[in-house]
Amino acid sequence: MQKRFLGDYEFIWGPVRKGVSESILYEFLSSGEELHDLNITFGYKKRNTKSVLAEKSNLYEQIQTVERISGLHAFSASLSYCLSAEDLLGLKGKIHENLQLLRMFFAEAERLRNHIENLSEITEATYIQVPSALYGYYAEMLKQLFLKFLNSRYLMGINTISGFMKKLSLDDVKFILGSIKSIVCDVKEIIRKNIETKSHIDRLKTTGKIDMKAAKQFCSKGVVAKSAGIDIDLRKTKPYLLYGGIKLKNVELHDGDGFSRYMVRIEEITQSLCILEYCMEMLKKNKFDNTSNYLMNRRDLDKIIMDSMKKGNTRKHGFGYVESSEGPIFCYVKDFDGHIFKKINLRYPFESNYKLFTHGVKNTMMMDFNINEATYNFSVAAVDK
Amino acid sequence: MAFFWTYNGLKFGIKSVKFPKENDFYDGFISSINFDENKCLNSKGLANLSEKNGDLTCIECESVCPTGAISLHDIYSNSSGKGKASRKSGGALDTNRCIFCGLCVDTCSDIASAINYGKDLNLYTPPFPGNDRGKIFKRSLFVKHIDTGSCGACESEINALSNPYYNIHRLGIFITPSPRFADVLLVTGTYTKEMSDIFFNVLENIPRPRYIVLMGSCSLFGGIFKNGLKDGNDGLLFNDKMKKLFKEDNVVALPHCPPNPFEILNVLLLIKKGDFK
Repeated sequence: MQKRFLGDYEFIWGPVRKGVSESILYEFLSSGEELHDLNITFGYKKRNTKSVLAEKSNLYEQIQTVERISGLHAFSASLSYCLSAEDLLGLKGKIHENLQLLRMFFAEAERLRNHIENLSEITEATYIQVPSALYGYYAEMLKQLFLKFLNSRYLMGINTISGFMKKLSLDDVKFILGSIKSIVCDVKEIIRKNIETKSHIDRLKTTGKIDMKAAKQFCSKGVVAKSAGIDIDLRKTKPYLLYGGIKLKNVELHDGDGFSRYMVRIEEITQSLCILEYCMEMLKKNKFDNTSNYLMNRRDLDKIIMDSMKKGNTRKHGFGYVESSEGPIFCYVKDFDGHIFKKINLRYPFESNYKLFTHGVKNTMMMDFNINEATYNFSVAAVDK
Repeated sequence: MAFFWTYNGLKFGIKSVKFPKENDFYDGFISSINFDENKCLNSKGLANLSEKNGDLTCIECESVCPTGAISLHDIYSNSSGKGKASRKSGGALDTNRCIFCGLCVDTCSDIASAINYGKDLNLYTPPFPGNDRGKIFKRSLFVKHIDTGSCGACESEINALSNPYYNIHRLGIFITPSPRFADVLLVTGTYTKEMSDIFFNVLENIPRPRYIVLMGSCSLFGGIFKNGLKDGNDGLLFNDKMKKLFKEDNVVALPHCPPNPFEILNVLLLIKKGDFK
């Protein structure tokens, strides 16, 4: 980092920062008001996840670990792991349609929760406290809903290979959808009022602006890419589960600023609610009653794996991906020894997005740093290096 | 516009829980795993006893536990022959190690339903009694958080405490940016090698008397990330550097993965009131 102007000074912030935040080190070069350069150092949270995963004794333990790499994306990460494992074990085409619908349902529910929580953070960063508290309240309501029916506020322990881990009936799913609809309805009302709040919008507009060229150069993903005009969504471009059967509306804005990222999240909330309704309709159409047919215990899973290996359906590699709230999560598994996958490579969208963040915040106002950080919303935990 | 949001906030009304005056939790929440030894096959001695399992009838729950929280051999001694296993003192479940993955509950539900979720607010007694056990903080409580390698779920739960539902500020508990103003250090994460010096640096800056709350299974023993490698992920409970601190400071273990906001709130209130028994 080199000084560019007379009066520029360097200072560090982190790894232990104010409030409740993840450990990360920021090195700023600033003239006081303007931020000229930023270096980010990760690595304070390096947990050697690859080695930890390779040491586990069964597939269930590996799923539990994958879920806890980034707790806020637990369902998406475990789903990508399960899809890759099913790919390797030759079970890809044998997953029941209802199970696929349930997976879609909870993946979208997770997206909704994360977006509402992030709206709360963004609004707080713009110093509008009341709507921030209201968003936080509704995110809390969603977490409590998940806890009531799935015993986990973060949708952990639900996924398993070619099965489901929780007992749920159609009425439960109906109740969850009804509650989510009511929450989203209230959230939309706050959004409507918030959009009319001039100071909130002014602080977001033109803040942390990135263009499409930079977004492409840094291979940005998810919300950040969509806000800069790149419509990359694996649910549309490379459909997995039953996403191919849904006509998803394009969520794409072109300004690339904080406001665009905020609006992409709002659009995705509407989109996710439509997908949840589609899943519900299809479950009814398929005469889904409860999850007892898809509950997978250890013996059943071992039997399925043994059968697959005997028939020679297994492959050398397995690949799975899921579009999480922040972008795609890729999982690559290899070297199945009969108990676990010895090599698992998980890639979260944050690895690309933080590079763009470093680029995007250059020559912005120091006062806007919080807003920029909130709109990018990257998890340090997922970048295990 | 300021008036507009003030009006909307007032119109929204009070949504905070009455806790701790009343335990008005939402339908209860999972705060413990209950082990019913009367239902356990080992207690009944019904099925065929297997010698290779140390004369225990069934060790399914123990074998599925990813963190080694269940030790059936600790409560059932090896019986001299085939018959009912006798009980030794001590619990089957190590509360500090349980991450609430639910694998034992799911497994046992097909066999004997001896393991179930408990929905009571079951606070684990702090394992390391320090010098001060009574009320040591007179007024508000200031909490400093440090992340030593967590997944982000614990942080999300601490942040949730500030939402209108829990609203910790009404109870005089605040998150402080500086360790110098802190009364409590809230530690999350697996205690990575990179964070070890930084953790002790932060700790040195917190004036005594103080409390250290090890929040989540990761900070206690490494949680699901505990491995056989030399590089960290071991948590703080069995850390050599912490042994001295356990004698001098007040250390509280707050297990589970992640702990429910009510559990965090409960611990902070107990510290504030000096109600630890």
